[in-house]
Amino acid sequence: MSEAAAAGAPPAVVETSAPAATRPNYISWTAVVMLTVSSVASLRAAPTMAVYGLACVFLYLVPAIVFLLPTSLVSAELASGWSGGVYRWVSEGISPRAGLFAIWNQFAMTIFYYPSLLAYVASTLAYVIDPSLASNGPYTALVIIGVYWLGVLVSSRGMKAIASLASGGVWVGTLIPGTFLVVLCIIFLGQGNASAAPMDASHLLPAWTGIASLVLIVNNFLSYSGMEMNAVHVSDLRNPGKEYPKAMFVAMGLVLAIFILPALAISWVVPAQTLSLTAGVMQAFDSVYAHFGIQWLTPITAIAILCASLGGMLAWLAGPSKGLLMIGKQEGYLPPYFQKLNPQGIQQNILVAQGYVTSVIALLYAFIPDVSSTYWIFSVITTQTYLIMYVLLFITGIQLRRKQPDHPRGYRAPWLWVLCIVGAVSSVLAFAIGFIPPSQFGGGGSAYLAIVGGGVLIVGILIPIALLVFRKPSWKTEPSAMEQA
Amino acid sequence: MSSVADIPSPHHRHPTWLYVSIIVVLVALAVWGVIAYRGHKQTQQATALAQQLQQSFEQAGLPVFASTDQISGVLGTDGGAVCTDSGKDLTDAFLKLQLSNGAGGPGQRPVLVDSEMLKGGLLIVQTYCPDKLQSYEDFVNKLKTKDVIKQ
Repeated sequence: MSEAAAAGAPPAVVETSAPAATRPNYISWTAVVMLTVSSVASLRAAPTMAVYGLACVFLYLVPAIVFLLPTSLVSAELASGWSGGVYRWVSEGISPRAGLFAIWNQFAMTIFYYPSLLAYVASTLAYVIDPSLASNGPYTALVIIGVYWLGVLVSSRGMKAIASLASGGVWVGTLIPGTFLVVLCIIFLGQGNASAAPMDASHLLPAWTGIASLVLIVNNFLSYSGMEMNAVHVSDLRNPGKEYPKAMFVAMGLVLAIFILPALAISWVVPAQTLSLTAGVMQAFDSVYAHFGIQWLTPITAIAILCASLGGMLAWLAGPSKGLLMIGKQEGYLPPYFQKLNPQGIQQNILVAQGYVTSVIALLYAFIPDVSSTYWIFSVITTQTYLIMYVLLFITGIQLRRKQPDHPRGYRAPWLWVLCIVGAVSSVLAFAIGFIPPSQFGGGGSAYLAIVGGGVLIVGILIPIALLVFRKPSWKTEPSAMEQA
Repeated sequence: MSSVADIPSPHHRHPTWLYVSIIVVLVALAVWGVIAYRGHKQTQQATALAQQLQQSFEQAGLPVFASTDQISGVLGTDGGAVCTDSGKDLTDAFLKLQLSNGAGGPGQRPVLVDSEMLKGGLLIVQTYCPDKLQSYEDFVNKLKTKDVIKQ
């Protein structure tokens, strides 16, 4: 018996399907597709990648092969056999302690993600209302704090509301405007206009300039991070064993299309070097609309894109915090206050506590230039810690296939060992590349190593160790059915 | 034994009032945006500046827009968002966040960017708001760039 099983870990998904009569409320597999897409993909990066022209296809496809595919297929197998998501898989495959490290690092990543995501929301909104607001501290702080708490309020209404709104966000803010953009750009070429970026075979590959190109390619692995996150909701599916893998395959296709096609389309119409990086997406749409004389659509598109960002935020609010709650209850890592659920079964106190932290970070970001100008470093630190989770995930994939080969799984990933090794090596490589100073860093390599290494040590290692050290057996609780969210 | 992980979330009724409220707020924002967003008029000055920018791009060896109308529609006479936000702490901070990989979600992290990504912005500032050129150059000069874009 595994350590997790001995500790009272839940049995497998496929073994424990309750009769439908007692589980009337499910989310559809298409909702999981949309939750996954809203967590991972958006149009936000399209102008950044459009600069690389045709090579953006390579820059997305190679990471898809070595990171997206392993992450998605391994997650699909694990979710089709074990409920609960990353914390549960790693607890079963390695140990409950490793499970804590995995879920903590997934959760910690979101702490600095929300302010940067919502700063983007503020900037996009400012583009149509008053561009000067984008550099206004009080406005930015107000948007970050206000929208975050609104997100907490919305997500407190339960998983069905979150899934519906995230799905709506993907349709309204990503799929429809993205498709419209691509169609307009095809029409642009059809009108006989030359592509702004060269589209010949010699531009299929990016320029190779050694370490800088490696940094670009390897960092793009992280474009697909988050594919596994919504597996925590697997027990909300009617038939998780079959539906979750199906959802992952569809989500993979959509994520690839959302990343590649709009970036390519923008590179046809807009010389991407002209785009403001702060208002890139809106300027790209604005430029395309200007060609067709339909610029009145720009503000509507901005609001639509906001919907996608907010949908993504809701998906992230609901996911890692739920995993943290589960392991916190099961192993007694969290004080009872954080284990409390609202009547809708949502881990509201965790979200509220995170809200206080987010509010403080937002104020620091908006009002203290030293904080805002170095904020990008937090994105490096938290993506580094997130990679720790991925390494644990891939080790778990191999371990569970080895230790529990006959455990029922709705889906068995082909070449699982190869997938896990490729995924783990990719994660380690991305982790190593994370210590190379990017354009933003003015100092030397050793200073950067110390900053990022120190950050990873504190956020990714010391905090979960503290949770382990200070846990109390009396904090362990067996959740009631109503609490099992 | 049942556990926290095995049972779907309770309370799965759709909160209709919430959806309606969100739709109302978003529609109101869109209407406000359409009213507030003026875009840029095709004036003679806007066209002249667009032609000047087009020439600057050609001279710098950068790809050019299909038409000057497209430029004047986006940048007008004031350079649009590029000039409005240029040289401010929060904008520079946000710009640093955006000099990143191709992630559209939480995987966003900085990379070593190509100077070409910043060249266009520099030419726009030079053409539309030369008074902000110095601070823009100061910002750009602090960034380490590499040639990662194939010419």
